[in-house]
Amino acid sequence: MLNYFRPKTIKECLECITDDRVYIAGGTDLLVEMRNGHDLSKKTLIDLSHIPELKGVKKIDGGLEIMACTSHDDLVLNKDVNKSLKVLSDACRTVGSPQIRNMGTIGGSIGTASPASDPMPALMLADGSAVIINKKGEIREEKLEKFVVKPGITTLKNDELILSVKVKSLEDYKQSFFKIGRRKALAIARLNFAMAILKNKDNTIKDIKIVVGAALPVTKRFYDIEKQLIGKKLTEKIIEKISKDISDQVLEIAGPRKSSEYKIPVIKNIISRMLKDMEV
Amino acid sequence: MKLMLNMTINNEKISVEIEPDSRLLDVLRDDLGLLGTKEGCGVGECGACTVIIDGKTANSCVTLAASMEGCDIKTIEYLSKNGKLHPMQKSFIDNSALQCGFCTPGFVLSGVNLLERNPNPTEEEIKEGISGNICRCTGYEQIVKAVEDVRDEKYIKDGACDE
Amino acid sequence: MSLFEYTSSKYNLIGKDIKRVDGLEKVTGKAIYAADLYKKNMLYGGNVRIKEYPAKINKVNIDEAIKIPGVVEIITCFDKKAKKHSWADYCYLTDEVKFCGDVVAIVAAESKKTLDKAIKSIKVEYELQEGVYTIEDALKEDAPIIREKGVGLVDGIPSKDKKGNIFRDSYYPIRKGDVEEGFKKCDVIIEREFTVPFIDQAYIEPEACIVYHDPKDGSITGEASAQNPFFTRRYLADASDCNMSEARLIQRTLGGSFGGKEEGVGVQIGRAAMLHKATGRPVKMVNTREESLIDSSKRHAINFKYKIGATKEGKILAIEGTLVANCGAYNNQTQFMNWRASVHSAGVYEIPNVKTDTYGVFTNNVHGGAMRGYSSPQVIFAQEQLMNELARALDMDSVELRRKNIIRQNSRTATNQLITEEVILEEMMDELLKRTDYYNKKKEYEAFNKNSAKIKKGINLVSSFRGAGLGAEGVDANGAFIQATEDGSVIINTGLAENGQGLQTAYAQIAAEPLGITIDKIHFHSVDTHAIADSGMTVASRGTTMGAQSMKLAAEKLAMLFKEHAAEKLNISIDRIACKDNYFYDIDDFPANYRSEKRASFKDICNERLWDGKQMAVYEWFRPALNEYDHHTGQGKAFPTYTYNACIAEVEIDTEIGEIKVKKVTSGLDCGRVINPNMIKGQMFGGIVMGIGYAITEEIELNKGKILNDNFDSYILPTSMDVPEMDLVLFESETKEGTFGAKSIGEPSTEAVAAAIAGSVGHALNKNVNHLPCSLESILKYID
Repeated sequence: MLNYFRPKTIKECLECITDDRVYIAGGTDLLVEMRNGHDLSKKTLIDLSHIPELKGVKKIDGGLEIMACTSHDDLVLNKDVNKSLKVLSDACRTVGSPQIRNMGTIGGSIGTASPASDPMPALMLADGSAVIINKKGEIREEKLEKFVVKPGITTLKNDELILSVKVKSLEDYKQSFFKIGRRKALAIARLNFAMAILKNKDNTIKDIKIVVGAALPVTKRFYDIEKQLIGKKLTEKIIEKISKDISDQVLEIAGPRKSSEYKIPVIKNIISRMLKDMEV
Repeated sequence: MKLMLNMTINNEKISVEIEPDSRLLDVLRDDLGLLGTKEGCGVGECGACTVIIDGKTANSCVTLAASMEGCDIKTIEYLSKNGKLHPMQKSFIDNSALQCGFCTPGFVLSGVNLLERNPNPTEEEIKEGISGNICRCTGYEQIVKAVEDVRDEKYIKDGACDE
Repeated sequence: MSLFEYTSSKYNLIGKDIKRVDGLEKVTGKAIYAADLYKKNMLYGGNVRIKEYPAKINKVNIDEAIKIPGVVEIITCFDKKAKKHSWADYCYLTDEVKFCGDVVAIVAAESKKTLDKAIKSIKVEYELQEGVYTIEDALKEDAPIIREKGVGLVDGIPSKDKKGNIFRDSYYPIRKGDVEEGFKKCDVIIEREFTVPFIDQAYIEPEACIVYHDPKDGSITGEASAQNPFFTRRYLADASDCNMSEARLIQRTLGGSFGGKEEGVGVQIGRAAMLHKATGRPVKMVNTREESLIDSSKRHAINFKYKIGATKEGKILAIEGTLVANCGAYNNQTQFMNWRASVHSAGVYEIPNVKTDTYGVFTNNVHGGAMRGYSSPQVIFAQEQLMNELARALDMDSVELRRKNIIRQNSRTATNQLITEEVILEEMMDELLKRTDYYNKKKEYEAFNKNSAKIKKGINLVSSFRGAGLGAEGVDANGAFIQATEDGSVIINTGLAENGQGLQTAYAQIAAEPLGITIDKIHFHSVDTHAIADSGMTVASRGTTMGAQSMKLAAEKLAMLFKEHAAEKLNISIDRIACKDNYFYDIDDFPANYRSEKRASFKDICNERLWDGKQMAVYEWFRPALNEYDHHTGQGKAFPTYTYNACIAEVEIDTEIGEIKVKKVTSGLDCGRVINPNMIKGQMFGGIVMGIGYAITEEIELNKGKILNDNFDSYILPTSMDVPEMDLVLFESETKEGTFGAKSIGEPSTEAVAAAIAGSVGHALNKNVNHLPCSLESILKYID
């Protein structure tokens, strides 16, 4: 027998949590899973759509806290997001369609742990971390690259709930998002990329962040490569090297698969293109 | 487990008994007889099931009915409720913006909602606004034109469009 | 100049932008499609399938399912109640599953949720068998034989003397001249191969039907999303085991078809009829999108092998080809489709020596069927890339090569048919070249490409033709019924069906024109098989060009009766009677004075005739002259008339990601006579976008017969944001055939588009594009 709860506050929500809980926010993923055989008949369905506390974007020190049930459409339009993390609003604008963006939420996008999530590269770019609360009210924070374990799997425990995602402001950075899909709307990312650069006055790199999605089971940020670039200038030679290093790393992790044939050269091309465009 | 769902549909307050895992689409069609909302894919890709929820479009095939408690929902039936066509409907007819018609209610609602939220969209914005609705017949061109004509106030709202 | 202009029409209604007569119901959401029907006491029907094929079913265990409250009936393939084979090649139920759509049990339940639960709880035990999935494998000497009726190749020709996987009835040769001799005189000979995948019609309305007993007349009534109601009735009567006169099929508003709602809907209604017969209750069956994709027919995958030769001046002397279609496991279409493919297998070119062989092979896949073009999008893709390749080999502009070889008046086609009618193809090509500034753009793009590694630009013109209507494939006969009522309004009824293409509106125009009445006076009675006779199928873009001939005849006959009446009433001779806007006039008063008192209203005449007991209704039958055609040599008159088509696509390719941006498509169509410009444009816009899908994103992905992309998240249709600039050019030409001179529109609107896009990709990359779709991955493979 399916149990259904529609709490109005986070507190009420925590009270509903049971071991067999399934969350629903916008429903755009869960209802597709149900259609494909995800059996809820013996589960507890907790509806998060009526908890005002879980919606909206708050300014916090050095960045933003995006509450879990904020829709993609809200993030496309939100002034603070557009100001401090334009790349996230750009990424959200490429999610599905207007209808999906109106209903789908950022929490859902993280929680389903899809390798092709469009907001994910933007969130990781901004050092995004998931804020999680458990039934007892204890709060923990976890970097997104740790939180997402593999496709469909996160570290979220049965007694936990995603409250929000905290991101750093990249207001001073030049940011860019790029998505490859098979069509211009309603597209699942074949690959997606997010990048941000902060320059010193002498045009050397003060900070750089590079994320590639849909290439590996988990969207990946290339911290080691980023570090190597600090203090350097983006010469053609360096750009060539970075793009090769990144595509090599992806190939190394993914191993030779059928999709690598396409994805590996394209990752190299696009990283190089984005870096060049940033230089202009 | 059954539950009572209270919502406003096409400006009418409605209470209906549902199962908690029912889709909004099924409640609209099977329980409330609002058959203008169509099912084309069931996975939120084609937009034939588009409705407007609290002022924004949504795919009712991937919307949990139970989540609609207290919500304001508008379906295609709302637009011509008073016996007059909405300008968007008139414009679709005038522009040959429909063929088989199965996707048409969804497109009309997306067009209406787009102009409610952005009264002066560019051609690109119109294309984006209707990009969650798939049409296999028309190639979209005349649909975009139909929305443009309404944007350009070719139809005087409320009154000019007798059904 | 034969460009269509709005002012060029000498008619009241023909050639005018009449608004769709079914628009109101559709924009308000009031139109009732088959899935919108609910009957008291209705059951929901559904299908049980397995996920691997081919397989021999050993047991269908329904023990658990039958216990579920609300499950009313289960019929398995082993049940005595089960009728397994339909009248056609397909099975309602089977214990020998040959493809993904085959059904091993059907279930009827009180609700959709109960039905889903029951289907999931039915356990099927089966033995997997060795399957054949590709054309290449099906033709191997040691391939497992899929169908009893399959034959093998002897000296490259399908022969019933040998077992194999070839569908013998789908074999069509063309033998014109002597290709060996022809090739000897050629300076340049090239050989190329092309492949195209299965794709889906992807109408937005999934197949649906309801079957119930109508106590009004005792008939077994089916209401369905049927493209061809009479064809669907055959399945209804067959599965109900009743006379056809007792089986009634009503076509509901159809949510698109494009050839797809033929056999799939037929088999579906057969299954519903069986459940109805077993339960005595109304049974509704609605396919999910996933079921629609695995069960409905597809545009055939075809492998092409061509050899073509020309003189160095570019005169083509010989062409040889083998076209092999993937039929799937069952098939009732390839034997007709391949005839059309064979007729058009040498393109729209006059070639003195032609030898082509066209046949289909059985595989354990979903079956090929009809989809907007019935072979032409595939054939034109291959044929036109072949022309581009020949031009490349000759170092000649591809337009000039076409110009030197296209069919003109007094040319002979591949079937040796003498074209006696006006042919405006060259004029069409010139107009398109001018509008697109083709030669300058071509030069500009080639210069651009030399200096650009990342972005490549291309442009290509393709030319094609299409036999209008059924031609020698069948008899293009049809009937229409018109009845006037005493208030001056008119009901028209025909066996041809509105499928979304606008047939109701075109027929209303065609009926209203001779009668001189306004469109609002016409009511179109959509097809009910108890109310009108079978007029053949609404296929082959025959609806207006051929199917409406009887409507025009009937309207003209009724108009004549009414004119006689008016002449008597106005006391003038009949040849002085004119009619317009619901009035009859003295021709001298018309049109300058047509508010004159010397007039009789259509309404008054109707009223008088009713009370005088005079004829108010006409039924007319049209049967065209038969075409003399020899199916053994493929020589003779294939079609009474042809629609000509020219199309130019322009693309920009991002070679770093393999992305094609279609920048512009310019499409020119020889409409014969334009009936409704806006609706023709609707067909053409839609045809272009459907062609873009075929060119770039659409493909049924198969793994051992299993369809991997079974919904619209993975079967990729173009969206509004994928649409390029489109320029449409409507031409008119003289033909004695066709209603008011109209030619086919629906299929020609799409059939050359993918070819033009592929050609422009080939131009941009300087490569032979030999496969569709031009996906992201395939483009990267063309890059060195």
